Amino acid sequence: MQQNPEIINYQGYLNYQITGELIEKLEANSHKLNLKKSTYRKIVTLMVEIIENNYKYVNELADHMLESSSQKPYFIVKKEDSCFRLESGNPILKKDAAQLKEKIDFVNQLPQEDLQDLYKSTMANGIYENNKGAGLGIMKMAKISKRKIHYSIQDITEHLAYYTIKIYIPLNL
Amino acid sequence: MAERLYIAPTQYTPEIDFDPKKQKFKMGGIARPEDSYEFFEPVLSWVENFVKNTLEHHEENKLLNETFIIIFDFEYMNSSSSKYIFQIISNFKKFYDKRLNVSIFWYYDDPDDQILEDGEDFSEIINLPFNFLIRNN
Repeated sequence: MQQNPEIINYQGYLNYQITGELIEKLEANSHKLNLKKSTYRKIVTLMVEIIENNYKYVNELADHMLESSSQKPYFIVKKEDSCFRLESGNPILKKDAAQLKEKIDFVNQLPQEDLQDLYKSTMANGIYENNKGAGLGIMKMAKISKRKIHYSIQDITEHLAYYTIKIYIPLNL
Repeated sequence: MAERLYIAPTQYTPEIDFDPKKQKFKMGGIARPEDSYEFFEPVLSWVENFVKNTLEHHEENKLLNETFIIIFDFEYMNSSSSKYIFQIISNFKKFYDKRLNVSIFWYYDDPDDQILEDGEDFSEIINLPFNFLIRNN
């Protein structure tokens, strides 16, 4: 029997409705996995941030660009030995890549306390500040996982890059 | 007096029940609307108008004897919703700043619940005390 199979392994374009279906799948699995309610909620909160981030970037791509990408979006939740891994991949515009990298690198180098302060000041600055985000979602991911965000950005075409993100959280938070 | 604002919950949008008559304002459920602006902007606008009109048109002495009960009973919220929920709390805080009685109740399931941390963050950012209560279920 396969050890530690994926709880969710979705390959393809994501959207609001699919996010709902994946949450339902996680909920169904949470009983089998005997997940604490708090752990389930942390995974759902992370899932929502990661997936919304995924399709927000994909929705900005023109159809011909998406067709030119050999790598399609995906989303995985996997139980590993001591943690859950949430992983997502999607094509993004190369012009967005630098800003995204900058945001994640900045969040990754912050001690938890400073991250907490940054999160609070960003929240206090309100709803009118950003579109693609002052990075509140990214900060929330880092705050929940309490670990660095693992990511990569690889060029795939002249205008596209492929972005993957991995978030780890302990088995029973 | 402002009309009651009631929005029924859906699988991924919260229930809103703001009842000026009872001075009880409740939000709860799951906050993950497809379009946070579309969902929350009318709610925020209702709160802004309600707070503004209440403070402008009521005699202060009368208001001092009243208590505004604000209840948050969320399972989880996405970050775009949390920005609007924060703005809603910020508006209710104007009552507190005018030394009116405001009681904020924030429900959670257990001490590891993410929603508890979200509430603690809000309370700290806005400098407003919340009553954190464990859900009975």
